[in-house]
Amino acid sequence: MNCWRVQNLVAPFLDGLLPGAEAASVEEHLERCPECQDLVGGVASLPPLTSPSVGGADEAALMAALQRQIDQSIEESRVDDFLALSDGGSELHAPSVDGASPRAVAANRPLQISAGLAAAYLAVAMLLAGGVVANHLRVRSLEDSLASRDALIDALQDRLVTAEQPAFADYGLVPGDSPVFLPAAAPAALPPFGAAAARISPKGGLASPYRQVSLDGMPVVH
Amino acid sequence: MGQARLKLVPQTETSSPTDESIKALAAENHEQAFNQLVLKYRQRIYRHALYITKDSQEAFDVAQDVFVRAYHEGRLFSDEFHMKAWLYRVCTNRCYNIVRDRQRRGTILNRLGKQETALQVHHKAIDAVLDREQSSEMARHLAKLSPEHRTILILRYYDDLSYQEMADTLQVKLGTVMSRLSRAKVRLHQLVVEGGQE
Repeated sequence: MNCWRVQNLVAPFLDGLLPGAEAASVEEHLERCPECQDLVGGVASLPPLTSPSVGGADEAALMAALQRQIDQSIEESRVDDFLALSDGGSELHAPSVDGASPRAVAANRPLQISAGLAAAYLAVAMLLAGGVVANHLRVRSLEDSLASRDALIDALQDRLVTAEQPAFADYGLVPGDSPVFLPAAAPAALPPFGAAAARISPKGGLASPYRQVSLDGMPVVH
Repeated sequence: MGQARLKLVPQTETSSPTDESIKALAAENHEQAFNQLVLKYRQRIYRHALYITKDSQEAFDVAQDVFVRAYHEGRLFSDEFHMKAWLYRVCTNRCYNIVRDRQRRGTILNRLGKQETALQVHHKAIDAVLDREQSSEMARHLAKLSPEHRTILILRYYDDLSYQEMADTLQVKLGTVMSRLSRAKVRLHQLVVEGGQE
């Protein structure tokens, strides 16, 4: 036992609440420590702590009022709990007379709440329906626009003039024999196609006036 | 060494039912058990709030709040639940919240919005008693202590709680109650000595 420990046990020691061994240990320390003797003696000699002497008729009146306030608060909270638990309040009745009590007005609250909810649902449903109709009209408009565009394209295609292209056979070539044909159309400067200009190719047939080149630009050697 | 004891102030409403009998009644009639609980503790809780807030109106409001909260406390009448300690703990916490708010504001704003009712006469009478007794030497020293030390001395000597009840109320171990109460009394003794030397 040391002085710090005694300071932390002085209250239960003086109240006689310490176990025998611990109380004996404190007493043993006190016999050889004058400072702790003074401390414990001083704490023991403190004037009594007495509670303020409130009471009498004033406190009795307040206690009666307190009881009423508690009852009223609990009653109100029970009504609130009931209202919170009720699902729509169809079983509740509206006050039948004017100047209804607060409880009757409170009981009517679910009806007001359900009417508000119904109005909100109706408003949302109307908004949704309006959105669907507007969307449908817009789709129809887009479809009409696409149909008119297709008609225009068809008309333009009908008016297209297709040009006759020289047949590959005219040049003695067969598609697939040569990788590339340059140019795609015969220029006007080329000699007229005829027997004078034609020569017999080693393979037989008419030689093409066009030079055959491969994809990398090199002359094709047959 | 002679061991002088601090005087224990007798508690009011001595003929009240025990907490165990209230719990037993709650199994049959919850409302009646709660009414007994209020009847038994309303004055003690009001006074405990009064000792801390030093304002009758605020103590009244705190007491009402404590019992309404008790009504909604689902464990209130369960076997292992310390009703008394719970009431004192909730009351203490609520009071110190009020005291802290009051210190921040520097004034009691609560009173400004309150209507003058018939109860104000009684509140003023109680406040007058408090004001008169606050001037006593021990009350002045008690007011100088930290809230922690002041609370445990109030619980012990004003509310007459046992060590175990104080431990349950403060939610600390029994050893902590012993050391805290000891240090509070040592500090109070120091204040008394210092006051005598001035």
